[in-house]
Amino acid sequence: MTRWLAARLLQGLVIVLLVVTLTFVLLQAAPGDPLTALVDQPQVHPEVVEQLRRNFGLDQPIHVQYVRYLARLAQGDLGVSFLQNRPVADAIGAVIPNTLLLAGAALLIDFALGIGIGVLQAVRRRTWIDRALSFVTVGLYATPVFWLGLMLIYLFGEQLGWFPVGGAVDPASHAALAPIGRLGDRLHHLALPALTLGLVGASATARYQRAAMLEVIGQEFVRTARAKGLRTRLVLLRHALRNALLPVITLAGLAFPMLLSGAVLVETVFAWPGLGRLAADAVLRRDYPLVTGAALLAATMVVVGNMLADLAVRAADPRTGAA
Amino acid sequence: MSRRLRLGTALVGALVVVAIFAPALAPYDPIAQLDLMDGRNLPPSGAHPLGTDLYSRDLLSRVLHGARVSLTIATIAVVLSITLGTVVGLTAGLTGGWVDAALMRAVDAGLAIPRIFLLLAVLALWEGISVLALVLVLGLTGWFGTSRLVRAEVQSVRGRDFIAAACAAGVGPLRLVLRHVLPNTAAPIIVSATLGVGYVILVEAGLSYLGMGVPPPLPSWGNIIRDGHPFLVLAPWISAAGGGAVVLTVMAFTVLGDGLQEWLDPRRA
Amino acid sequence: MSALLQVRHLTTTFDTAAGVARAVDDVSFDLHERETLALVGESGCGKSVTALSLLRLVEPPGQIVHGSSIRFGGRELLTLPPEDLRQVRGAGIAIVFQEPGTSLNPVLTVGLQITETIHAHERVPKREARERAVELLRLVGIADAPQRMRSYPHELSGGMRQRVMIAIALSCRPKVLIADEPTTALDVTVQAQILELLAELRDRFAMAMLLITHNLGIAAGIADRIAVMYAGRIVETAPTGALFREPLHPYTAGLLRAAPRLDGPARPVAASPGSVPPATAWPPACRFHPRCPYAWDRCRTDEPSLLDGGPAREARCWLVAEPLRRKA
Repeated sequence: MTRWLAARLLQGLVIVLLVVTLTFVLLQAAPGDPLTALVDQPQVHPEVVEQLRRNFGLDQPIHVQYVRYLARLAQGDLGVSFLQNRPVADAIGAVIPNTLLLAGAALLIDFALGIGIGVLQAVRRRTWIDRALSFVTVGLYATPVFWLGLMLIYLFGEQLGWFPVGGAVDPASHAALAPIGRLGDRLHHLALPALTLGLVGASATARYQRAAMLEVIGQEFVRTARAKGLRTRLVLLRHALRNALLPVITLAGLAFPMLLSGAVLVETVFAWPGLGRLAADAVLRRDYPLVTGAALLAATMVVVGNMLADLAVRAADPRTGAA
Repeated sequence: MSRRLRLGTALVGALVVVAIFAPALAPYDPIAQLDLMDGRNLPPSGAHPLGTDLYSRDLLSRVLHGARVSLTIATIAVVLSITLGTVVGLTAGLTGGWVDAALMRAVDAGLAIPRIFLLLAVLALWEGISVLALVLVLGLTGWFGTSRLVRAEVQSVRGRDFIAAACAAGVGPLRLVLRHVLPNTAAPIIVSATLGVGYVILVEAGLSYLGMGVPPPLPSWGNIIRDGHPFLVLAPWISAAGGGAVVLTVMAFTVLGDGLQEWLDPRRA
Repeated sequence: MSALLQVRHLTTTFDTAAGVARAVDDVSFDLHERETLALVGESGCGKSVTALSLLRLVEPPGQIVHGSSIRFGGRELLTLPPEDLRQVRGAGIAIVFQEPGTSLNPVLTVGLQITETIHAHERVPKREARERAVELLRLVGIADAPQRMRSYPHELSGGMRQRVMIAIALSCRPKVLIADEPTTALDVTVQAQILELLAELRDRFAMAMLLITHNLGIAAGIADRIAVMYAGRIVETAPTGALFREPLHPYTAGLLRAAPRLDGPARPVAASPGSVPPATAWPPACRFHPRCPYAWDRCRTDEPSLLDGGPAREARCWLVAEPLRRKA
């Protein structure tokens, strides 16, 4: 296990390194450089800027800059945001918890719904339930996540007024609430965005789960379980589902990128103060360090998430030497 | 031909027809601002079956033309992605060794960056985005999955006896690839491409919604939804029109893709 | 004394793209208490489907046709409500499948797969079920039984897995044990051990056994009676010794000739010409007539029913009615 873990970590590091290289290339390709903003300021003498350029090594050949970039990254320095005028790392650090919260809640909804629907479809294969649910899942899968968000805002936010239509907290009252009230406020605001992301994710999960379940149900050990006289529910849950979950968890790991992509859109729709919204805003204002920093971080989250998923599957499957 | 395949083909066929004949089918010019005084944000009616938007443009015309824009962009981008992915996948699968390893790590990295983040990072470099640039960027960032798919197919075919037999008979490598390997990989590629068109439409809609996609006033379903966002309560039909079009279209491609999967590659359906 | 298991007119069909396959076509037989009956035939003759049908384990597109009857201990299994059927499965009639590698759940321990069977049928405390499971593992010849309880199937050899399957089957003391090609997937050396084990346990538990096999030799070693199947039908039944001494049906004779024998001078192994026809298109009249060396016009026009061939013997062949046509 430890050997596998080490190999997997190394692999993850290589991937992150490659992503880092890509972001470096993008930054180099961007017009201007980190000091461009300074040049526009009248009181800054051009010679000072030149000196700074030399200090930052911006006049050095590209491979030197690359190494310096790596060194800075290793120290957690992602550069300075043009327009926010503070380190990118700080800007991102401030919003990442919100995205993690959103993504986590969405994943919960995604799995709970997706696995449930997938199993139900498999067990009731070819009945009207299966067909109806297929229609629903394909429909959800085809729905742009941001549009779903808008529709949910329209229905539950505006028309019914059950949920707030934006933000992570209520700016007016949040500070004055007791801790439990604050938690409730947060959850209240979390509901619609998490539901939006979760529903779209669930549609894909349900499709995978249905397929995985059908494949497992056709296997011989399920027939043995029935032949032994086990109750149907036991056969399904303990024998079929346990095996069918394994590929779905792996696939869920592969769906992390989609989840984060969706987060960009959902955060924009709901004005949710997360990494995605930060990136979207940064792009419109051509704040390259911030955009690339966000992309890098998103990729890292994906790599970590994939590793965790792989770890989970490996631990759960006794055939892969979990010792 | 299963029912699903027939249905998918019919739907996608209808969409293609609509896209091609949009100028003839649309009652108005999609970018014409018809009546800035009284014609803004009108609800659906006889004159405007889907209503008008904030610039008093007819939504039905915009949606129909949007089909043209979105489908064209998605199709070309997917063709580009598939080609690139196939080339890379073939190279990796046939060469093996460190070339394979290097390529696949690059693919892993490409897949690790969430698509929208990657697109945003690249698109940020442009001041003004043209449709051509959009197509190129979408195509150049969408090949990773295909390359993995093709590589896996190549590896499984490679091990099979008929390849060894052909090799022993002196068949050259290029011919081997074209005649023997590629036909076997065709089925999953076709399915992936079909589903991919649906996916790219969703991505493009997202980008357009964020303002980084199809440049206005050219209609794209994504920017129709964007136009409608501020007026969600007053004129929900604007966003609804754009979104509904996307849902129907992507559903059509998904159904077709699933149907093709059943037909061409049943063991994996 | 009425039979423990009475099968009458069992017909199981499958809807395939090529038409309806009558895999089991009007099969009837009895299985008495403490008796071992072997169902013998080549692949494609319907014997495995028969076994699955007995416990109603046939999945769509297969179905048991109306008019079939399976009576176990006096109760009709085909109309049994689901909960009662569940109780019969495993506790009344147990089955051991052919492929121990795929018949055990790979993510559950061996011990759990035994104890859950016990818990499904009897209300016993967990400890007792565990102890019984350990005892069963010992009984089927697995060393280190208490440790093996925590093993996973992939950690065991093929032979050991099959022993576990047998342990599972016996866990609730069934009256009938169905063994569907129990040794086919195993190494030759292990086959004999498993067969011996089955025979021993059958006697110890006083069970009736239905053995499904394509190997007459295996049947000879363990069965009291043999029923030969061909093309979805039973074509001959006889006590084991009688069958081997004097087969009445040409197909049975062919099977015997095709088995190489070590106890006599070397003879060429004679295969019956032709092959088993597809289940969607059984030949008309006598289903064996295209391959039968004795066939005459009656065989091509009338299908024989099971004709009386002597004490406890039947054969579906016109030669029974017209024995003079048997030339050497």
